[in-house]
Amino acid sequence: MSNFLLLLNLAARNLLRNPRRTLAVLLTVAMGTGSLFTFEGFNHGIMNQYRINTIHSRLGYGQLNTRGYRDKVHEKPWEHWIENPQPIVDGIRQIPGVTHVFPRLNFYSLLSNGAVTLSGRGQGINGVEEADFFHALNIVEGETLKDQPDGILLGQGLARSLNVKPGDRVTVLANTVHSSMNGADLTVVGIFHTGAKEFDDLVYRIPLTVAQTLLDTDRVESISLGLKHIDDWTPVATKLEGMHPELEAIPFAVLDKVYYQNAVDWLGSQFDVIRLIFLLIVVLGIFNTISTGILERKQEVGNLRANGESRGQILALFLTEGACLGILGSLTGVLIAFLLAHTVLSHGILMPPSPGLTRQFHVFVELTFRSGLITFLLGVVCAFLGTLLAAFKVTRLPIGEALRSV
Amino acid sequence: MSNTSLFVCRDLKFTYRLGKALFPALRGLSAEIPSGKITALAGPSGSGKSTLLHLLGLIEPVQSGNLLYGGQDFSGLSETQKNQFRRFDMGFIFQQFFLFDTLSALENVEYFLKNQHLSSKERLKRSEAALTAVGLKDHLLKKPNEMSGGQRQRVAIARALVKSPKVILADEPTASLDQKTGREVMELLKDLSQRGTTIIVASHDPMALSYADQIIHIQDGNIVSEVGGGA
Repeated sequence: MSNFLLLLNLAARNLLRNPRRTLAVLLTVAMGTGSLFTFEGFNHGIMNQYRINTIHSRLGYGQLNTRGYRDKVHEKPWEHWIENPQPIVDGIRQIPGVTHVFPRLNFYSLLSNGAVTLSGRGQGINGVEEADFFHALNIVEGETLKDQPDGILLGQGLARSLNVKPGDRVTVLANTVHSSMNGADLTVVGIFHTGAKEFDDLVYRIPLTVAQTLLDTDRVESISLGLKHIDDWTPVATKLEGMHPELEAIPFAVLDKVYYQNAVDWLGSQFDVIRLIFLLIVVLGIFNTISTGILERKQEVGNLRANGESRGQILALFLTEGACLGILGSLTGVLIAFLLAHTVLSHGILMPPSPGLTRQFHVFVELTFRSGLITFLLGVVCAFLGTLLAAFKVTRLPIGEALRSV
Repeated sequence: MSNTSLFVCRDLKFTYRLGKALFPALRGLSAEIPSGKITALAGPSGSGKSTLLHLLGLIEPVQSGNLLYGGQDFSGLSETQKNQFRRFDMGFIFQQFFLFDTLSALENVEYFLKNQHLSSKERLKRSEAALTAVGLKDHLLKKPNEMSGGQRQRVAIARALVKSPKVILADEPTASLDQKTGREVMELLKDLSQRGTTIIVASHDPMALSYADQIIHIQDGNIVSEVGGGA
């Protein structure tokens, strides 16, 4: 047996000297890592829900604008819109990873039902293509905007303020790019509800061709993208900017910094704090339990030292015991979390509306191999640290004092 | 210093400190301990015999006076040097045995060879030989809790002698044993001394003292008499 195996053999068997205490430490580590892993999965689930909601309700995976368009407020924004968009759109469709292309126009306007006139933000969209992708845009009445030539899809708050329902007529009034007023009479086809109140109170959607006619332009403001996978964004964006240097590709996280990125950052920071608290509790729990065991072994330490073991070798023995406990406990914790996520929590956890949203949503505990590995390693490190704290002082005891201790 | 003295103590003083209280254990003790013999440190509890044993075994530091081992001054050794001496030159036997309950007799002995730079095969061979030498050939795989007190002390002796140390220091090695078993243990130590190992025993057991070639009687931290002995 090599020296390491001798050490491992003794360390592993030392754990059996007091099974109850060993079990207590194992449970401490398992509870800590299991809770941490579940919480991390829950957090990941929330982030994913936010991301899906953001991508599939409003923005897609990202969008193209003319370079610098979003950096400042323009007096005449239409002068910076994308000219002759169709060849660009056709080119984008050929890029691997791209599943949908959504040319869009955003503009401010007035909406009137004859009795009430409100301001709103219009989006000219390709209804047929967007209906397939933006499934998180919940239609609460009527149907989504597809190929209805004079259709208008209203946000729930906006529809409520205008007191209209599907089938009612609404007039949209807007300034053309030549600064003259223009109007369009449209029929409400449906009412949507994204959950983001500010968005639902302000936004409506009409066919892109209607919007272009209304504004008297053949340009589009932006081109949003649907992708096969979120990881496709970077290569697609790089390729696009190479093909069209006059355009810049902006990911959804930047487009929706206030809602998405800030929420992600906020939750991430919160998670860091909670994780730290978890880990401290685990370290202290391990320290507390292991200390008792180590203090009872002072004479054993004295004997080992008297027979030539160095302080480092004694510490290595204790740390190996701690590492064994950490590995076993962390593995147990990670497995318990995995089982919980696939049994009791498999239908998700119903959450109340989060900040900025008005509807409940289910969060699934999404466990990844990476977070499992990190949690496992953190558990091992905690057990290691707890043991180090407990063992350090005992290994520093003078040999005589250790031998005399009771 | 005589030519055969392994240890020479000159005016050794040692004081235990408990908080602000000071407890002198050795008060200027001088002695010589011969090589290859059994030397017994005798005296009542608290006389200073265990303290002297601990000083000889580098368990306690030399506070005052001189302690020479084979002519080398022990005071001022670094922790690493002390470890080296304890690891290769010395073997300790304690009254409480201090065996690992979860390891077999063979594993208990083998563990103490891990610093000797030996192959695992050689370690096992030596451990078996040491246990055979103390009469435990048929108990190699037994755990300490499956053994009698005498057998456990034999494992402890095997553990000390397996390193082939120059000195074995035994602190009350017979105190936990009955008369017959204690005698067997002392016979083992006597046998080791006859093969050249220096044995130093701290004890107040008259039977154990009867095996000593030299008995140093200590009282209140000083030598009160120093006599030769014999089994």
